[in-house]
Amino acid sequence: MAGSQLKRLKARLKEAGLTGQTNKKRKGKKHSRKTPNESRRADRQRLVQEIRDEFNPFDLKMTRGKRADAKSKNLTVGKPGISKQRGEERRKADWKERLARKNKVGGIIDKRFGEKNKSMTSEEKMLERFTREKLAHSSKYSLTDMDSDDDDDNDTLTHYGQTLGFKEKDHGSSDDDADEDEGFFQKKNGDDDANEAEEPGQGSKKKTKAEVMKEVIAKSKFYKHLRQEKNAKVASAVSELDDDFNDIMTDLRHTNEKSKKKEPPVKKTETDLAYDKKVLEVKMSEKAAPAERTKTLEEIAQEKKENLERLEQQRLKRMQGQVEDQEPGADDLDDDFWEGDVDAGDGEVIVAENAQNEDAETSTEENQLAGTTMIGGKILRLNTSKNLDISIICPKSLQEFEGLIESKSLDDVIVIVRTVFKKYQPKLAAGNKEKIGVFTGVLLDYLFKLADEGFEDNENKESYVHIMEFLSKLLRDLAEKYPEKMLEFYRIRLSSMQTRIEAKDFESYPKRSDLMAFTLIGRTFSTSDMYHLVVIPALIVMCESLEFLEAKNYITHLFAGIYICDLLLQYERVAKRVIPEVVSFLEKAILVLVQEPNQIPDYKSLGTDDRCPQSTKFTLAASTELPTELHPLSLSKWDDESVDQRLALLLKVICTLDRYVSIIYKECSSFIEITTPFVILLKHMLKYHALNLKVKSLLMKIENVRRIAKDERKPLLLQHHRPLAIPTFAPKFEENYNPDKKYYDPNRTRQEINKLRHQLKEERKQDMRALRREAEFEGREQVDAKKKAAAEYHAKMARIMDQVQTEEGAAKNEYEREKKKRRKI
Amino acid sequence: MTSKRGNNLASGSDQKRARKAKDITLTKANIQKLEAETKKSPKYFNNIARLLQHLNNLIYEIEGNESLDDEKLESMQSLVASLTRIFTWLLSKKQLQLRGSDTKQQQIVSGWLQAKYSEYFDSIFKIWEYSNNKDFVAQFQIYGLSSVMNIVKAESKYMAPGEDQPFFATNTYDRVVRALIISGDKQNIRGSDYGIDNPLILEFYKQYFNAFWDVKYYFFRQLKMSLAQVLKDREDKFDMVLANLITLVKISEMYPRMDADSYTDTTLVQDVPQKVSDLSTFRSNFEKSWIILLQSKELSVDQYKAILFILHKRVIPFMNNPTKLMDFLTDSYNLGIEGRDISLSIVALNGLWELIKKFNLDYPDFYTKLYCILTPELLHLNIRSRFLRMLDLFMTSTHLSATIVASFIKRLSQLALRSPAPGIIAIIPFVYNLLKRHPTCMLLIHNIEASKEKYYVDPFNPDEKDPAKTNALDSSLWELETMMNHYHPQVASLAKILSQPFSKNNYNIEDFLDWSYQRLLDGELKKKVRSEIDLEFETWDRLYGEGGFMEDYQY
Repeated sequence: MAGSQLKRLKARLKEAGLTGQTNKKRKGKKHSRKTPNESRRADRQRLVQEIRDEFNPFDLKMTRGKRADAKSKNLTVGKPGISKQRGEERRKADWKERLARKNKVGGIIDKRFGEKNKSMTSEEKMLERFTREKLAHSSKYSLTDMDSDDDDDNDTLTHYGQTLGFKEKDHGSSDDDADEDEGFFQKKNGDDDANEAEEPGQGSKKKTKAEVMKEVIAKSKFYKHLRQEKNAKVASAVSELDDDFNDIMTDLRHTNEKSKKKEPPVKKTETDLAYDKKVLEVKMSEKAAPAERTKTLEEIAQEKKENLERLEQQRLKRMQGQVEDQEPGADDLDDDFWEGDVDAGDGEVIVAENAQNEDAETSTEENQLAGTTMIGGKILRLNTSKNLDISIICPKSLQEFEGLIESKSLDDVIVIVRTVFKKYQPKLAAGNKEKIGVFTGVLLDYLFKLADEGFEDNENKESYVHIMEFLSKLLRDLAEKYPEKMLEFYRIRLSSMQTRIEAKDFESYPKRSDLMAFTLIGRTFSTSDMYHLVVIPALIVMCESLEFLEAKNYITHLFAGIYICDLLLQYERVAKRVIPEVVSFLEKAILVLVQEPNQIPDYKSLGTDDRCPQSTKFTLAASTELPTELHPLSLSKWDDESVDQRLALLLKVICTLDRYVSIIYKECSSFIEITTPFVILLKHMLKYHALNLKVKSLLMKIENVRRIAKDERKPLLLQHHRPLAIPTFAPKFEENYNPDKKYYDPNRTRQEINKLRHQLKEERKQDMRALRREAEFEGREQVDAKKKAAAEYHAKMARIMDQVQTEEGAAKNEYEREKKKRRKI
Repeated sequence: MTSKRGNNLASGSDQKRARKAKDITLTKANIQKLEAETKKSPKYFNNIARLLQHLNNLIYEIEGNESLDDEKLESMQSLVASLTRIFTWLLSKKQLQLRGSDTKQQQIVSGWLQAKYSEYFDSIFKIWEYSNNKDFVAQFQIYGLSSVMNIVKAESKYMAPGEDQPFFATNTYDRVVRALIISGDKQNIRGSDYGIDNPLILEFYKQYFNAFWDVKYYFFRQLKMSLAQVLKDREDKFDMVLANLITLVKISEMYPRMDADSYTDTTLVQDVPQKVSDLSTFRSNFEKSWIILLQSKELSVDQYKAILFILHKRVIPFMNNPTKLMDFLTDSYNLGIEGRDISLSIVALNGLWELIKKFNLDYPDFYTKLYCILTPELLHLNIRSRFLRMLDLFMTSTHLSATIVASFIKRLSQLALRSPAPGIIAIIPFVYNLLKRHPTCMLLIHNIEASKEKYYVDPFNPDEKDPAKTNALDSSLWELETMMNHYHPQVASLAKILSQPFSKNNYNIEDFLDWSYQRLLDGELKKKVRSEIDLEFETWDRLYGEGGFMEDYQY
């Protein structure tokens, strides 16, 4: 459209017929003349408004949504100009008020409704007061809403002694009240659904859910009340009957007593009393309780089997490293363990056997103390006091213990140990448990000492074996009672072993006690566990020993190494884990012992060293033959360097290797790599021991497995993982798109949270805006105030200057005049 | 002073007589009296001979004796002390110098005095040759050292050719150096690092060698000149020379590389020639001394190792032209590989790498030789971490072909099969990093093509020396897969990283190299008791023997 704004306005006004020739004849006869003046004026008003809006496009603001075309909704229309102006006015009013109150401290604002208004009667005032009060509490959810149904009505308002209720009965009476009041009551009554529902006059308004619920509750209350009343009636009838029954009974009793003659109570004789007592005793005794049914053999076997299965399950779990946190179980003090049969094994038998020849050695004093009596040269021990030697105290250290068993035979030591255990049962005194715990450590040390010492001669051997077996079994059992103590003892032992290894002292390590310690740990603890506080450290130390041992220089080292290899197999018999150190040591051991090691053909493919192996001081002569049968190796002969012993050791290595192959290596994917050196060595050995079945069969076995492994082995496929998803940034396509729906999150709570978050953000924005406006306004006002003050000041100064100048001028004029005057004179 | 007297005193018969009368030890007072007389007038110069005689007697007595009584020891000390004083006095009087202005008689006297002077040194050096296992000998040797060094100082001060001219008594010092370098006892040489527990050398190091720059400078200057001669004359003392030199060089750097100038300022002799502070001359002396030493004789493996251990830190930085060591290094490197003593090669590798890096040394078949070091004993050695560190460095090269890298990986994993646990801990992250760096080698753990073949045969040739020809790339790391079932839970879980997605960029090798059994055990022993300590539920009636825990053994 051409032309300026003004021209366009003029044109538009003319078009609307508001300017120019007003009573110009309209061509169309449609124009009705009937329209009254009034409506025409309104028309005109509307027209002007339209035009105004048209020419002021910024007075209106529409929110144009992104999907405005998809929506058929009314657009929100805002009038920024007007709302701005309104806000400005409000702010101005606030500002003025604040300004007025500025620098004025305190003061009470009378917010009452006109107590001092003289035009109101006291009645009116009271009414007004009450209305206000009511209004203040009229919020729908107010706690103090006194008009709600389930109110206790304890503090009802009264007026002239009458309750001010607002039930329907009051309705009529309050009709004559002011309009305002009526509206108020109407509103309140609107809430009272029950009444409304009963009033047919109110029309058939549809009941809300709340109303229905209320109705149901009211009904059920009513029926409940009816039921209660009925019950009460029945109850009162029954009690009446009961009262009557008492009377009848007294009558009946009366007749009975008469018929029966009263007899004096029979005095109980001594025997009767004794009898009663006996009966009571028997009744109270444990035997009176019915014994549990004796289980059949099958049942016992079944139970055992189940128990074993459970334990096996747990073991498997631990083997896979699934640690379950169990609370250490509380042990019962009344265990059979403490009751003398400290040793259920063969220890008992030995003691009985040896009891007779023991007498000569033990001192008579001790005999008496122990409660033995001599009858015909034979010694009878009283069973009860046999072990309760008062003089024995629980030893706290190895020295004390050695003092105790000094000059006693090994068999006596067993007796003493059992005595200590019997005497210091935890149930006998507080602190006994701790004492025995310490004693356990002493026993462990003693066992290690014995292991180091060995037995002196063959006569001694039997009792030595007995005590070793006794102690090792005992210590294994004690581990159940004192697992943490045992852990501590073994930890100390293991770290001392490692200190010796680290010191590279080939003499002080290994000792036989070290081997004993490893063996005990293996026997006591669950060696198949993936994580174990004792077993893993023991494994580490054992493997370190295998690395450390100088098998080619010390026969004891060779023996210890072979022993440890065997023991490790025992450790891993269930878990079947691989121990590289063993592979290495077995090869080394064979190389140390085997005949003519420098003749080995493919020595370069050996696993431990690719230099040509040299003969050592333990190398067997070419003519020697391996024994066909494996005899148990004796720990006492561990430093034996004889040819027989060396042959036995070699055979032992072969057997151990055999077991390793069939238990552990067979299942390894790298079986070929593990066994390559062994094949070379075995082939070499076969030259000297062609007839030995063990060597031959082992070689055959390994070759067979190797052949299969070679055929079946496939390259690794370790990286078969699910492919990782690439994160996508394309928006998700909604199947059921709905423009009204804002959130598509299936998670309800998350959606709520998002909604709240959004709201919070909006509110925050609004508040920030409001604050900003406020601050701007304030700033503006302050600047205005300052300008005003400055203008006032300048005006004042100008005024003063004017005044002064006027006065000055006047004075000057006067002076001039005077001067003229004088000159004239 | 007559020539007759001089002859008389110097004659052998007289010495014998005196030796016979060796019981007569001079007291301290006597010695002091003789000393005072000597200083009074030249006619008492014979006292010098007497004192020397006594000293020699006592020295003869020491040899083979277990101990010496205090009286003799004291007398010996005062003998040395007074002789030192006399000679210092003579030096200050310029009596030991031959001057043109001297009369013939005076010349004879100075000649005689010079002979005694040299005899005095001989006596002290004689003691130095003795084994110093005995305390008093060592004590005396050290005493002798301080005397000799005092004389060197005095001589440098008074014997300058012209007045106030800078001078260092090189001739005398040369004798000292020659004597020092062969001192000590062969038994005291430590096998581990070829250092020597020689108190004399240690004292020399502490008081002079490390304290005064001129002493150090002239030490190597003289050594360069006379070492060849010494080694020729005293072939049996080669070990001593080597051990002494290693001991001197090993303790600290020759001079601080940051602030060398101020270090060279502290000198024993006040007025030293200017050239002393010339570091490049020093370096060339130092270098020549070493080259002479290294070339003079066939070294033993231990000696090789000892030298190699100090080479790249203590020797190479102080040489002008370290490439001269190249022959030595390559020799030792090859010797280690051929002699199958790889620890020697590993040690040599450090020095060699230094040369390759700094001087662009071209080394043919480098990776082939490196591959040869991967012998079965490698992971059992203490210095495996040193080697693996180097290997890690060499393997960072992006120009390596995948076949070579695969060979190294495969070989390492084979070694792991017999390795101690700490070795495996070092190997696995190492292999992981290599696989990550050379993704082609992932075939080693994930080979789809080959696993589809019906008749798959492992093509790896473990006996092949050349890493490019082993066919390792078509093989697989079954050995490391086996390690997933290792007895130590942490090693086992470490091995399992090869079967998990390779999401980690690389492992920090340093965290894994320096593990030991001790560290493993410490970690285990520190664990707290969280749950029940599980016991074995199987029971055995006996420990040993039939039906026992260890069936094949008995007490």
